[in-house]
Amino acid sequence: MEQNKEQINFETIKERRSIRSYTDEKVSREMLMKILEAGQWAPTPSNVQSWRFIVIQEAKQFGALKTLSPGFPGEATTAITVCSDQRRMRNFGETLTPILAAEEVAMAVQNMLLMAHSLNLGSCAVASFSEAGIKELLELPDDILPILLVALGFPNERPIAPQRQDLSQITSWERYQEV
Amino acid sequence: MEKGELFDICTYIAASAEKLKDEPKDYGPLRLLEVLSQLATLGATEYDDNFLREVVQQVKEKQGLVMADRKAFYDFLTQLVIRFVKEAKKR
Repeated sequence: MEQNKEQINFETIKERRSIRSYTDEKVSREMLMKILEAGQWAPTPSNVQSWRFIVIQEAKQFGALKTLSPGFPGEATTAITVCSDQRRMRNFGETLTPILAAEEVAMAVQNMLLMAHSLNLGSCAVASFSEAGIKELLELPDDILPILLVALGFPNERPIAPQRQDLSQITSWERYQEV
Repeated sequence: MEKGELFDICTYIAASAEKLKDEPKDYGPLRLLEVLSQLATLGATEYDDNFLREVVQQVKEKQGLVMADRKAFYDFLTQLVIRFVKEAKKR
């Protein structure tokens, strides 16, 4: 049983690709709730849970978001703007820096991408967007920082896996070694 | 062309200009290809232009090379310009 679980998890991790071509089929609310919940179960420093998710599907709002997000795959049908609430960060002390907020959001997004893949959805994490433009569009208060967008939809492509470096080139044991 | 389409492209260009200063250099050609694709899509429809229609299709097929094979991506950019020059001579 444990071996099977490991195999399934590893396949999900290795098979997930950034999808840039989608069909026009809409993502259901039920699927979105699973993806959001997966994000919520990511590691979070001191359980601060600063993340805020804003789901965008309505045509006009979605169209505006795409024009402000040069890296957003045009055919996706849903966007989740993943933000960090700096008010929550501040409540947990000065050491929780903006870098920590970005790390927290990144871990949540990875969970969301993997859940999307498990549901046979395509996804793509997007960092290329106008922060000022998105804040204006989504009417974000000053303390809510947009950090990543997640594009979602039903995939219309199966990209081949890009090469990864050999593990031995990026791993050393006990102390750093130049390879 | 609908009124909003050109406006959307202008917004995209403005957002790209703001963001590109902090992004990897290959994102520049990628964003220009996207704008080319959007304008060519409008042109293909407005003027029933088959050349532009083919360009849109080609960009769609090849822009992903930026992630997988940078040299092939640069070659594509060069070939695309040559295609435009050859087409311009016919017009």
